[in-house]
This record gives sequence, C-alpha cells and structure tokens, in this order.
Amino acid sequence: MTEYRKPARKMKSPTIARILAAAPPLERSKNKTRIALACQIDDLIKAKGFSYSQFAKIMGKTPSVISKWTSGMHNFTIDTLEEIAYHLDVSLADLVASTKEIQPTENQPIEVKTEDLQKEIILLKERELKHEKKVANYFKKIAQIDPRFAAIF
Amino acid sequence: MNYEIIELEEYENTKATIYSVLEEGEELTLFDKFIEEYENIYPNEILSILDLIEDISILYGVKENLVKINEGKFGDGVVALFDSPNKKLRLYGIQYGTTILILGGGGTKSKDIKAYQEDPKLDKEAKIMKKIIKEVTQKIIDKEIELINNKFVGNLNFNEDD
Repeated sequence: MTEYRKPARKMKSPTIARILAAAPPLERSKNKTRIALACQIDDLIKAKGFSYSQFAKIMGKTPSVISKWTSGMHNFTIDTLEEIAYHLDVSLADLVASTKEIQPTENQPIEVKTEDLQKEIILLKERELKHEKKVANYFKKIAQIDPRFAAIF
Repeated sequence: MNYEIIELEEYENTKATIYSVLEEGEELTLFDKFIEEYENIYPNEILSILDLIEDISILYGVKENLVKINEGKFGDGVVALFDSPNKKLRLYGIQYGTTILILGGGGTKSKDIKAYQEDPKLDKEAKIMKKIIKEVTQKIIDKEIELINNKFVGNLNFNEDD
C-alpha cells in the first residue's frame, strides 16, 4: 500500500502553453475581466445574504439570468452593470474597479483533509437520496391525481 | 478503459489543482485531445476556457458560479465548463470541493438540443466522466486515494481488471 502514497504524475500539456503564448493579450484581458466581474457580483450577492432567486426578483429577472451573469460568460452593458451595482449597494466604479485589484494569492493551499472529502461525498449521496425521494413523491402525487399514471409510477 | 489521473503541470501551486485523464497507450490527456480538436475551429472559445481554468486554478478555486453543476446525475460531481460569451462548447470535468478539478473531454453544443444526452459526442464524453467519478470516489472511500494539501495522493492508476 505504501508504494502508492505518491502524488499524481505531472505532465506538461503540449497545447496549453502554445495557445496562451500566441493569444492576443486584449482577448485574454477581456476574458479575465468577465470572470472577475462575475465572481465579484456572486460574492456581493452572497455578502448581502441574497439567494439567486431573491436577487432575481429584486432585479426583475429570472434566476437563470443571474446564473448567466455570474458564470463569467456574460458581456455586460453599462446599464446592466449600473442596475446591479445599484441593487447591491455599491457604486459602478467600485464594482468594476474591484475586478482589477484581484491578484493571484500566495501559494498557501487551504488544508482540505481526506476525512472532509469523505464527509462531503456522504453529504452528496444523502442529498441525492433526498432528491430521488422527492421525485418519487412527486410521481406518486401525479398518480393520485390521474390514475392512468398509477401503473407507470 | 485503463487510465491514470495526471496533474497538469501548467496549473500547479494554486487555489485548485487541475488534473486530467490519460488513457493507457495515449500520449495526450482527454483535455489535450479536446483542445486539439477545437482550437482551429473555435480559437477564441478555447482561449476563454483556458483563461477560465487558469483563473479557477490561481484565483478562485472551483467556485460553483463558474461551472455548471449537476451536469450528470444529481449530485454526482460532474460539472460542465463553457466558453464565453456564446457557449458553443462544453467541457466536462469532475469537481471535488473547490480545490480539485479533473478535466475530461467535451464537444460542441448545438442550440437545437437541450440536454447533452441528445448529442452522441457529448453523451459519450459525459458518460466517461461519470464512470471516472464513480471509480475515483470509490478509491477515496477505500482510502486508496487521499487528499493532502489540495492534491490527490495515492493510487491514481485505474485498471479494468482491478
């Protein structure tokens, strides 16, 4: 067993460095700003104690729109950013400026232990089980409403 | 399928450790194959995915807003990464907490389909990751793989015969 207590073998990708070296800096900057802005908005929503559904209601949008905004894939208009900043109680300048302040952190890995990971796996399995029970109950209710489905569920 | 979980050297010493999957007898990981397949057709999209992975690795960890969770079975840890801004591509991966991301392959997602199961290529790639997460998770439960300083340590070779 001890012979296996090694970290994963490392491998250099033949493609990643080549593509990044040849990439236009402006294009990369745009990508990075989108991601930083998305994370900033996500952090502010959470800091305000809102769920995505609550924030979506405040903004008059659907939760999937908020998910898109915080995914790092959205190309914002100034008006949308202004609205977001207004509802998160920050200035537009602060919302955008903060994306430029983000710097790589020092190499201080956050300690996560195997036991924590195992707990997380158990938690996920429990959630999955709950989810399956919910779905089963949902189907049962449908079958009660419409007997034609009873045979199926 | 015999394979090995490989740490991608480009992304070491960061908030999240990025891995991919090297199948037996292959020289490229699943992630490298994905990049090579699409870099000429979708250069900007591939670049946006590489930038996203770099930021996950260096700045943010695997924050749940940056990946689409529950891409496989509910709660199974299979996630999807998209390109920006048009979401033409899907890259499948496996997330363990915010500090481990295993990258697999992916493909193009047509606007005409809703679920990956409707596309044979996406379905195949997602299924590979679902199989891998099952096997990795089992090894974590069996303590054949441990997580030390946000990195996998242990037996990272997977053989059908085991």
